[in-house]
Amino acid sequence: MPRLLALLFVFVCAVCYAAAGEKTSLPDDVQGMFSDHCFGCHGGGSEEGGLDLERLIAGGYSEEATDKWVAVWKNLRAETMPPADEDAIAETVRSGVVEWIQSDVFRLDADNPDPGFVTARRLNREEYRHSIRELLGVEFDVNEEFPADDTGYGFDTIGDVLNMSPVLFEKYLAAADEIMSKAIPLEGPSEPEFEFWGDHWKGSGNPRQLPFDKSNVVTVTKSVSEAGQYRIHVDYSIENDWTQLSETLLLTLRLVNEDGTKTELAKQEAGWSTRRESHLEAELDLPKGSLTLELEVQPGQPHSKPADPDVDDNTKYKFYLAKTTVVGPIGGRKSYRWPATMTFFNGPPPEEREASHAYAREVIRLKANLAYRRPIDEPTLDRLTAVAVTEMERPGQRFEHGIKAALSLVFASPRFLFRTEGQPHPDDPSEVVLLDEFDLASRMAYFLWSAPPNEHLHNLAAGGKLRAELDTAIDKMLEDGWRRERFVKNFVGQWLQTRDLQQVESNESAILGRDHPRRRDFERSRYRIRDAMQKETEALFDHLLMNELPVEELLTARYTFLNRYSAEFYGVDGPKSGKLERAELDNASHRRGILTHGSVLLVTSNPTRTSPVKRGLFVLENILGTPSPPPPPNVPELTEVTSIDIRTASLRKVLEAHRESPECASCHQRMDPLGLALEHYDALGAYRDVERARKGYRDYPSTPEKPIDVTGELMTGESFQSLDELIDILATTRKRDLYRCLAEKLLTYSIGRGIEYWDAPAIDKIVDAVEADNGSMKTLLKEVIRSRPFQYRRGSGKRVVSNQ
Amino acid sequence: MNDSIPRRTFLRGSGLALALPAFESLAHTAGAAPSVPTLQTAAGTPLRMVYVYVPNGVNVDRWQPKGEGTDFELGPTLSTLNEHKSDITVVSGLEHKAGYIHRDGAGDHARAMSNFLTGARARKTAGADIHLGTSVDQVAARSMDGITRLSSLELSCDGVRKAGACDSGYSCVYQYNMAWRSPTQPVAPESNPRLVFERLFGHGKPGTRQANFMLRREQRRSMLDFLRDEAASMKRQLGANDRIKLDEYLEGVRSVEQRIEMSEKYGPPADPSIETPSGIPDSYAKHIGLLFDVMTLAMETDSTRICTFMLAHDGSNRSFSEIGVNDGHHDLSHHKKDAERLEKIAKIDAFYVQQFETLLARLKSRKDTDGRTLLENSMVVYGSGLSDGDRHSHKDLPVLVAGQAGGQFQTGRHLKLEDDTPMSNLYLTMLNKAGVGVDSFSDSTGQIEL
Repeated sequence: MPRLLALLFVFVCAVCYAAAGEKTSLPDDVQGMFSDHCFGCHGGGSEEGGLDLERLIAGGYSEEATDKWVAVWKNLRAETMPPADEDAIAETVRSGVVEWIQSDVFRLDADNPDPGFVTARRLNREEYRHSIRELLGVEFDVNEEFPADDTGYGFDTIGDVLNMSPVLFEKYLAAADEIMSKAIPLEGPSEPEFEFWGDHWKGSGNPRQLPFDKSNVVTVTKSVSEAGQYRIHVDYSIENDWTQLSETLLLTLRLVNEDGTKTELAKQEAGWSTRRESHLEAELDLPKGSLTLELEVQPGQPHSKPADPDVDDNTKYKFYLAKTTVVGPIGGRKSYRWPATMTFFNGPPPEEREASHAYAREVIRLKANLAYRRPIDEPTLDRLTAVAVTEMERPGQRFEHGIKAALSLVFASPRFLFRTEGQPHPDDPSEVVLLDEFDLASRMAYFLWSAPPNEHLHNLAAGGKLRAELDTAIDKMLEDGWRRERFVKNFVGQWLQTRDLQQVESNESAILGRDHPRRRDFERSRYRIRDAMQKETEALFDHLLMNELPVEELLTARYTFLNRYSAEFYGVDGPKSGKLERAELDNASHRRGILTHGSVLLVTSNPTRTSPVKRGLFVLENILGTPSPPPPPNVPELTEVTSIDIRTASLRKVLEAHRESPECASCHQRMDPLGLALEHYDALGAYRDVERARKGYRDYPSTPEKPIDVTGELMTGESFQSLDELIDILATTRKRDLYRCLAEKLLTYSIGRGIEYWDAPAIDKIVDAVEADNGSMKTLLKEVIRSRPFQYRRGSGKRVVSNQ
Repeated sequence: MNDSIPRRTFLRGSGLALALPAFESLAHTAGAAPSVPTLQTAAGTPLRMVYVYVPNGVNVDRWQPKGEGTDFELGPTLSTLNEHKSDITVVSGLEHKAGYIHRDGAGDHARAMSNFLTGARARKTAGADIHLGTSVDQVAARSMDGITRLSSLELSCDGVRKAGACDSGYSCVYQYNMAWRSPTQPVAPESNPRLVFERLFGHGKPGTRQANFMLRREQRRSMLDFLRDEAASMKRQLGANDRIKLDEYLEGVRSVEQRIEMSEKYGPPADPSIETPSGIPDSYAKHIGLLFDVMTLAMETDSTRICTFMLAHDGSNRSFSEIGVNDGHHDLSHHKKDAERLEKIAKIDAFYVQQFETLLARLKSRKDTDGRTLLENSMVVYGSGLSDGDRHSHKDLPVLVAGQAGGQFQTGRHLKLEDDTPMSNLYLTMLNKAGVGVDSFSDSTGQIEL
């Protein structure tokens, strides 16, 4: 095998300095392929797209050489070069050259690829929120309190761009304090209590939706274990509070005594003038035995209320009986309530001073272990305990003040806020280490749950058993649907941009026309339709994952998940309730896979019209993973193109005219055909046969109705006559592109860095495994976790790869 | 302090009902002025530097003034500024070379946004190795450490980030941040008027904020030692890239310490006798107005002298139903010379200029200790990193400068510069007028006559 001179790779920016100016000698078959298929445009002084391959081989292009080789390699791999109208290369030859570039130009070790290094990741808003919720039971409104996180490679999990700024630091300090005030009751443990939900009440109506125009009585019986003084608290709310109905309710809470007599406990009026959520409250003495309560709900005096023209009259109020809390006996043995029970694992502190200090230490230790995602070191624990003890012994302060002071520090600490990983020599780029199990548990937990490892995972790692039981551990994590939902929401939400759905601006009048019979319905249900669309896409992904179905079914599924609102919007006969259900799709539905999901169609549209450009780019970036074309020439501003009347010309013609500009053509000839294939779906995601005629703005002339032509050709040469054909191509001949694209997205999201050319062997391995397992989505996820970049890390800095 | 001022007062465009006492520069009252005073007028009052960004370029024909020098007429888009004509200079001929394609391919919106205040070319990366330049406001802000409570204030109406990739291979970092402390550190802007207000003036109702501030100060102070030690000990175990993150954290610790020290020296911040604004209002114009209110208040109380405000990030596809334009701004900006689209762009341009007018009115309605208005003692730049959005043009950018910089600027002019004058020349001029003596800024080639 011909040899290269020593190569010096600089992994940080993926620029290979030593390849610069080095001459590369080629084996005969590679030389043959290049001269047969490439040199015509990229050789002998001809430098199309800024590449002369002969010059590159001869050692030209100095520091740009690696970028050029990466471009050659990517385009050969994606079959975007040679162009479709040139002679095709035999598959074995093509893959041989791709492998030769990986092994001989990039010198990648297929068996032990470089795992790369990952910069410490600050918890993003979602991760912070879920970490706080899981560790302390407190819901903190991160979207309100923290600035938006910067993103990179399409995700908000990228260490390099998750900056920490003085403003953010201040906010973390304030947040730790506020969260602790909710997590820790500074008044100490409280009276015993029990609570039960509204559905425990039975009677003449459903206690969760009592009407306003009828009288109803509901009762409930509970047992009281100790005689004494009690406080009863009945929470309720008024649903559908946007209605302008003026009705009110009269609520009466009574105690039903043993002899059947009744004692009135509280009386209250409910309706628009009261708060949306309120409660009834009473204090009373109870004997040991049973407690029966009765709630009467009667129509009250109507109020007059100024009419709000924006709301319609049809939605009726409903009375919703929420939680009932019975506190007492007052003066009984006190205890902590949730969420304080999450922190004070052994109840109230012991009386004795030393013992209470020891308890404080354990409370802090357990919480810090989970917050820091590894055991806290003893000196730090000593220091935190000292903070707690000092605080609790100050005049007027209690045990809880001490814990609050110490835990505020834990949750403002960089050990909580940053996910760092350890290795003996973190600045030695040649030191590759297997992640320790705590770090592995963190990667897995934030990947699949957007939250820190729970006690179970933490203990597996502490016992060194996580890696040994990796497969079971992943399955178990995925079975936790409540936590898995966050992965689906956060990953799919960013990969397919469904997270943006509610924010996308669109104008139903402009898209459908003012006279469209469903326009007002769609406007009114905008939030619900979009909510259903978002869940539809997430549900399909989740379904494939949990049922080990092929990844390409994302594109080809002849079924989907709808509720009443999305079914009505699609015009599909299906679910009649607000709950998401599986619905089968026939040809007449014009729906098949995510490319026809309202979510994808909507996030790739402009407010008043479709954008074939955005849609095409979406397919290139998120489905095919097609490499970018070479940069266009440098200009201060784009060239003027042939003027075209955009009012009368078809969108296809307008885009063609646009591609006359050389700076625009290289990218747009890739994007436009794919986007045009989706033109039968308007900017709301509804199906249409033709592009509707539009009235002009003010005095401007109107635009005529225009036919839709969805035929086109991929960069790789496959042509299609319909969207169905395009979907089939993507799901069959291009399915490895989809596997690769999704594998790269998952790896990027989970380890928090961009994918570089030297990750190729690891990605190839994942793709091969997925293909061998019939495209299983679950296998894809597991292979990502098993991959070398996920399991290993190396020191930061420049890496020298020797010739041998 | 008066508790009875209704919350509406704050929402009203004109801002504060009660004038605050005119605060003198902290540095002045306490005799802590640096040896070479920066951002200070000849009369010794604070000199403010403000940058307001408008996205996607403009309808160029409607923007351009007629005539040159002092004998000029504002273009239709700027006509709402007629009342302030003598306080502004429209500057033509400025260019940002770093916006050009060069070898970087598509991504003009990311480049236009990121080079606006830096003059620098964003390194094309989607995440690793972010590299740009230090922005002009941050160069000035460096000299304000320990002089004002905040060395600078960064605002933006974009509280929500787009999911997925941003402009053509550029990390979203470049498109959503305008101020850069260093070539690798963007300064994230805030968009919630409540949070900005609370950061400046403390929490709670008027009259209670100073006490709340002091209480919080004590809580914070007790935390800092521990957190600093934690960061330092963590740092010792980490590699170079991770240490940068810990350094950023430590910078946060230091900045809180510094604010505590300042409040010990000068007392707690002023407690304006108005209710804290609630979060982000539904109306875009109101959102902008509230942030202008807080910004004006920050400058009036000399809490800061340097503000940057992104009305929206470049590439923004916001629609403007409030003015009858339902199309997305970015979509429209590719007008392909269609008259209808150009008309709509002009309407959006005029909407933005109208908002800007309210800022000028606010600044004019407040007096500094030297009897001048805040506007007279300010230099305010309003502009975009693109001129014609359709062609992604980075030449002849729409830019205007308002305020007299404490009597240093001759306003009421259309200043027509030589074609392709670097935008950085304007910034270099401003820095020098602000007393931040630098020989060059980014790709500057000299100063201009303002």
